Amino acid sequence: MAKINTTESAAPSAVRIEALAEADQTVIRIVGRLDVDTAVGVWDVALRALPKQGDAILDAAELDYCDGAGMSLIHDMSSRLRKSGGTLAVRGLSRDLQSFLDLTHLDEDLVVPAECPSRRSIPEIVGMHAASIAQDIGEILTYVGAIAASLGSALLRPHKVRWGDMLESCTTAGAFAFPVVTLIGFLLGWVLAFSSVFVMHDFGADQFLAALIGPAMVRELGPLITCIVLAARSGSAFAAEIGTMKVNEEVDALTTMGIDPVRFLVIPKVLASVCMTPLLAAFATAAGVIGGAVVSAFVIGQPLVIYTNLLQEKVTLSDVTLGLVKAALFGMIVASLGCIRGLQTGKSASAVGAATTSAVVTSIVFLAITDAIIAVIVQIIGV
Amino acid sequence: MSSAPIIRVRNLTVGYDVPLMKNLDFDIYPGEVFGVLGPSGTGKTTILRHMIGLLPPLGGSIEIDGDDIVSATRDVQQRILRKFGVMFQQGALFGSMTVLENVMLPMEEHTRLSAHARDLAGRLKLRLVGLQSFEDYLPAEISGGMRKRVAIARAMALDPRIVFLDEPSAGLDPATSADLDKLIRRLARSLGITFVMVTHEIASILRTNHRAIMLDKATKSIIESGTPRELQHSSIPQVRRFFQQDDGEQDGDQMQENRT
Repeated sequence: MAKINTTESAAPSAVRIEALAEADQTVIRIVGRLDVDTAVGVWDVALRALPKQGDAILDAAELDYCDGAGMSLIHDMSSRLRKSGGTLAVRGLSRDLQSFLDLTHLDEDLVVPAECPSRRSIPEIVGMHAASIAQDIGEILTYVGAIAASLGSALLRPHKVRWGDMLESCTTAGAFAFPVVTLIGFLLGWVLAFSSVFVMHDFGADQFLAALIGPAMVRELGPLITCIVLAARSGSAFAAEIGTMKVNEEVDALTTMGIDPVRFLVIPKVLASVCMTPLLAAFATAAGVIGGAVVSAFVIGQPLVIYTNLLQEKVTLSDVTLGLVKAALFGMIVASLGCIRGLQTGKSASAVGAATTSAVVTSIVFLAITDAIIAVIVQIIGV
Repeated sequence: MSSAPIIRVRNLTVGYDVPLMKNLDFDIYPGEVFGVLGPSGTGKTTILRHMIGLLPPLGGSIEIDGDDIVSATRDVQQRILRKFGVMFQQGALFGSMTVLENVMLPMEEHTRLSAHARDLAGRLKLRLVGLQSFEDYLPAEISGGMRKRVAIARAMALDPRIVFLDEPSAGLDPATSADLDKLIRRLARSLGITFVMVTHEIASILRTNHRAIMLDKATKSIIESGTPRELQHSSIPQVRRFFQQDDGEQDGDQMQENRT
């Protein structure tokens, strides 16, 4: 028995690999503790010690301790040897380590599947996404149908509506949103006025500020910003609430009690939003117009009456009606999508988070699309 | 059990998109506590979801008190739903309502009882499950065992003939689980309610079940049916082994032998 090579890993470690030639066979001796910290240092050393072909013996008589990482090294040695047609025999293992090794089945290769790179072509990926979007839109339409049917039957049988829940939603989605909606409306009007008034001044048009702020806030920005805030505050809350109920099987419980989840959970929230958003939008719009007035009076210092007179002239009743109707429609969209995303929630806690995110994103996308469509319709019918 | 079965399952193919069980046939008789047993992953809960109409099966029929819930129209399904109550695994109580409001909800939705009558009936149901004086607690404020009792009270709110229980012992300590089993047995005996429970808890099966079926994943079928005692002494080794779950060490050795 001749010692042909002794290798110690460079790092001070508690394990040592020795490769010996015994008769015709390579004997690899592992001495010390082979654990998750030390195995890294000797991994390559151990693999290099393997013979190019033929069998080898792993002498573990002086192996004090071996953990999962150590066992992985032994497995790696064994399977590499097997690839070149040899086998690794293990001898001298303590009883505990032997039973550990038995549990891992050294004779069977541990298959680590190679990370398969995505072989999909770009058109295929695009197609898959398009199909999933189409499917999603289909699902949303199904729910929209269910909500519309439920709303219809709620109008026919008002005693079936859970008015208590609706009032609660009015409070949380409506009354509690008042401060933030008003503040944002005011700042929006102020910023809009402030950033345009200097340009207008250059053209000597500062007295026309109200003609810009009034219709813009009443017809467009007031309803839109209100419903974006609603999507962020309440659409997400609806999705999270219903999503959590879905995960806890509460939605299933409703179904088995013969209670339609759409009627029970969705309708009160949708009704509350439809009722509250025109109010909120009115406040946001008023605050925005006041914001413009503040700029007009204090930044450019013109008498307030110029602003108010022009406002009365430029903002008609049909502008106000359009703004309020839009707000109600947007409110319905936001509440419905929030609830729909909640009902679509999967079975895990992370699914609730995904539902919430998707409720806000989908709501804002649908708000923008609806607003664009309404703009075109309004242009055609000339309101 | 000479009367006609209250639930008649025929040729049922269980599964969501891949079949988990094929061609199941079994009958459940009025007043019995019936167990659907099997190791995890055999499709027990899926069978339950088919039976309570939450998920259409891949094939077959489930007749509940004469009406097939699989092919039922919406109206018929509403009628069938009134015949049973369900206790979900974690109770599925509504968190924003008190215990009493939870129990009263089905009455509020489906009956013309006055508020006072609902209140009385709700309190009575809670008394049946031993939870008097907990009426005004929220579900989050009571223990897991109590939540399951409330869920049973809610399942019984409309005096159904059948109550389905999904894993009644899941998440309960042995003593609480034993109390719940005693309650189930007592309700079955005194009210004549048929209980159908899905479980893998041996102690619970032996304590409550009158009859049970045992599902097998490999053959996708019922491999044994009978009283718990009969199952325990079954001629089929798998069934016997299922009933000897505590014998872990021996089981491990057997696995070892099977491999070599």
